[in-house]
Amino acid sequence: MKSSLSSKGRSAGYARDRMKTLLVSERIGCSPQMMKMLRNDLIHTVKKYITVDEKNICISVTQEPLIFHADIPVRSDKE
Amino acid sequence: MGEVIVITSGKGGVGKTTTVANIGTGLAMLDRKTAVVDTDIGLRNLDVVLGLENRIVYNLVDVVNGSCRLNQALIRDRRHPGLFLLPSAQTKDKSAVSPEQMIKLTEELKEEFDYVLLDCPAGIEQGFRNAVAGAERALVVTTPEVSAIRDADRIIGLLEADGLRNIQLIVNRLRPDMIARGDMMSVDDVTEILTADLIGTIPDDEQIVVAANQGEPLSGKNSPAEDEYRNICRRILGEDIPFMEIRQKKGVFRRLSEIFKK
Repeated sequence: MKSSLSSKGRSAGYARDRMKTLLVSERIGCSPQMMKMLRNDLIHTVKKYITVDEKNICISVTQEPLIFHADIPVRSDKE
Repeated sequence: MGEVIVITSGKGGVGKTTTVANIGTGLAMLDRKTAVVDTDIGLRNLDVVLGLENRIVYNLVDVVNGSCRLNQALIRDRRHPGLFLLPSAQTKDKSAVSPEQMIKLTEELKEEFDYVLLDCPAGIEQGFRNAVAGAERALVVTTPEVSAIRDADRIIGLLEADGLRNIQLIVNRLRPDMIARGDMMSVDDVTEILTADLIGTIPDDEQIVVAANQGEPLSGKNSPAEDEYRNICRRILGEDIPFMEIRQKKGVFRRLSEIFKK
């Protein structure tokens, strides 16, 4: 992913995404590495109780107000 | 009673001093009595950008120590009635001034001036603390580069923690050609990342270097950057001036293709 985005002519978008991730993680005092661990722990915990669609989990943090969002699609039992 | 505005950035070299010189000159041209204060003790430079380096007798540390009166240290710019410079000291001792002394100084300046602009040193140490202490409004200067943006975010956080609510952003050295081809973050990108209110967008412009060489800010004709500095001054006065679109000059081909779209 990085190689295609960092190519000349599209570096601004790559910079914007990097800065957004970095500054949000600095504001909430949680490094990108820790965010990854949080994500894994979260999935692990939810999975103990319900079946989730792991590929489509979306974790984000909005800036104003600062809110941590975790959208975890659930697989219905009937499928 | 005047307003005290600090111009700050965190990162060095993004255009704080240039911004102070241009906005100070612009406000004086709009008939506002303005004092510009160089708070970077040990690294004096606002005087040379304004072309007033040969007229310094006393400086900020002299005033704070009581070695002279404030009026003795203030240098009047003869080209712009209403513009005054309080130069910084060239001493090595950076702790020569305390935040309490700066508050006292800005209170005194506010009595006499409509606007007091403080040129803040780079960094987040004592010099930054001093400059911010007496300010009611902050203009944070950044460029559309990752290093400057990260430091600007840190500065905004520190200002907010200090209880300063009136914080506005100046995005400096914008290159329309690079933005158009996707190699420079746009003003929208920067304001989105920093979630701050915008007060100015300055295009990269050779005239800024020329004016600094000559020690005469806002002396150019048809300079996009200087026009935008004038706009910032009017926004500071509370006028609602629309933001200039940072856009490339259109070539013939592009114009033609736009006609066909219709």
